[in-house]
Amino acid sequence: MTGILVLAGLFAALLAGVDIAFALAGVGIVMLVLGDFSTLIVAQTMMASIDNFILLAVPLFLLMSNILLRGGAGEDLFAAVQSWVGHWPGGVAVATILSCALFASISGSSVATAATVGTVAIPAMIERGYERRFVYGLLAAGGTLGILIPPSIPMIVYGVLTEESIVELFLAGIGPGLLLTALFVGYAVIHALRGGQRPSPRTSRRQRIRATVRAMPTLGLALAIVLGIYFGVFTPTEAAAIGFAGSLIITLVVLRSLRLSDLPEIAITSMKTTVMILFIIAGAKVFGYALTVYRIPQDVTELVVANIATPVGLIAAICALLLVMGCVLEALSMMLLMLPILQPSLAGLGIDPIWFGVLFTMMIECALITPPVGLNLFVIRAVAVQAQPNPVAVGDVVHGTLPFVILILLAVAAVIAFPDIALFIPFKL
Amino acid sequence: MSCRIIPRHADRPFYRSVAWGTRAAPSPDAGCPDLIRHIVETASRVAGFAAAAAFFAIGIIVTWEVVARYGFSAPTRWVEETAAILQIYGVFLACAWLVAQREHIRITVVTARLPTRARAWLGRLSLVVVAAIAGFGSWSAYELMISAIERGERTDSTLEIPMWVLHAPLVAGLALAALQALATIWASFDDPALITEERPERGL
Repeated sequence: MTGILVLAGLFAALLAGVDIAFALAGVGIVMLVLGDFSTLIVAQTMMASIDNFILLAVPLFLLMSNILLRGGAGEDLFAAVQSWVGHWPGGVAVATILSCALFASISGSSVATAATVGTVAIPAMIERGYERRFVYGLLAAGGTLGILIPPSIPMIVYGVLTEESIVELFLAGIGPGLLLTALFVGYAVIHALRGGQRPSPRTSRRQRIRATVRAMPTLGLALAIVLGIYFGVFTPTEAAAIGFAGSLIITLVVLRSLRLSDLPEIAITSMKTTVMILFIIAGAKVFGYALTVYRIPQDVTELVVANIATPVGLIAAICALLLVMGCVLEALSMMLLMLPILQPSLAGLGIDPIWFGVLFTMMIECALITPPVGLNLFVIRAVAVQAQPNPVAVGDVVHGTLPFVILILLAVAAVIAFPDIALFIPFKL
Repeated sequence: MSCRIIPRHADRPFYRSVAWGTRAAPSPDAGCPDLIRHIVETASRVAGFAAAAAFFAIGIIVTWEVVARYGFSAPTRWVEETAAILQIYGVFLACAWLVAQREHIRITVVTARLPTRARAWLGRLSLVVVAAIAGFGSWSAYELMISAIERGERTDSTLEIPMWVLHAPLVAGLALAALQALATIWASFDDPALITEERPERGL
């Protein structure tokens, strides 16, 4: 009963438009005050949640991706990939997805990925005669690869909340990330077979080499980060610092695509996203602590273990719940709200937390492109309005994303049926 | 008092990104509430800039740690703790500015469908809740800080930094966030767009 009241109060505050971080902290505070617990724990918990060396990876990866974004890395990657595959049937669409996957390896954010690649890919695809709704859907879905292919900010948050290895989470995201990339590319090629669009003209060898050489520093940095983490050379936070310094060197010195005067704006933009994320974590920690002292997660665990016999049954139920919640809740808050309640149940049924983290991230991908609150829908609409002259309704983007939602759900089913898609690289390779 | 500051070089991206939500300085005959509001908004903005600098500084010092550790085999003793402390300062000092700019994530699926007037009142109500929670958090942090000072608590690390140094940004930052929420409510009566304009492109 207490649990239902708590959740009702939280949802009322959230739907009334109270900032998520404050709503989570507020419900936690009310629970602690009503339960006559020490309220000093509020400040203690908030401070301890931010006093964390692993979380430093969040601002550093955000700084890195914003520096590369402003330095034109998205354009360079798209130009390089397009020079190799643009002349294929559906080549520009394939180049778009591959660019999203590559940009995802230097960005932990789906918004940054969708916006960066979308700025160059949307006009290029529309100019080549691609159906507009397909273009918007492709970009909105392609952007979600940003949070599955490492580095991934939701995975860092998941790792901190569940105290699981960020390295293992990152590595477990690679297999499903490649699977989704392949599914998206396959769909793009099948869609292209319907005809109506023109491939790009075949580029000369010299043009390909020139475009590839320009993208090489960014690709090299992405590779250094992933391999460095994989081989245990450095921690995710150290990798993020190398990414930050590397991105500065690439954009300021090597490519000279950024000026020193651009740095204050980059710092401000990165700071806003960082604080937005970390302050929600601080609020969620207060909420999580209050849930624990009321033994709500334990009650949920007992309920789940008594009624759901198999881990796959629980995972399927959670995925269905996340699909519905993703239509109402913003992605990060969905994770911070659900994990404190669900985590003990997962342990109770022996579910691998790394595997679950990957599945959770994939369901967040769905939430990012499902209406009415899917963030990428609005991002792509905003980018499309600026990138081409035609009017764009959010409904057009929603229509375009539908096939990709189905593809993501297919990939989720595949990872549930074959956990090694996620777990092979971190544990068996 | 409904105009916005238009600084020199206002067309440059940096100014476009920082000027959103800022308002003109009060005229000499403005009342005390307007003056207080202006002071709070200025303090929030300055704290936001300091936070941005703190996060950039984290990038520099953690990079230095990586170079020292792997390049010179001479890991530092101060970077890890200093960076974490800078992060605490960055998050809590910038909190008020994000309240001012309505940059904290919130769910708009219901409020976006309401008439503008109802949305404005619900926005004010939600800011009252924000002010209350931030104020409570600041008070809780203040109690914790006083307790830490009285006991002479220090961090359990090589630097042994006094714990109140870690509590101080919570006290100041959350108090400023509470004041900023109240200032935004006050300002919204002149300029309802401050709390009714939605900016959906936030998040991950």
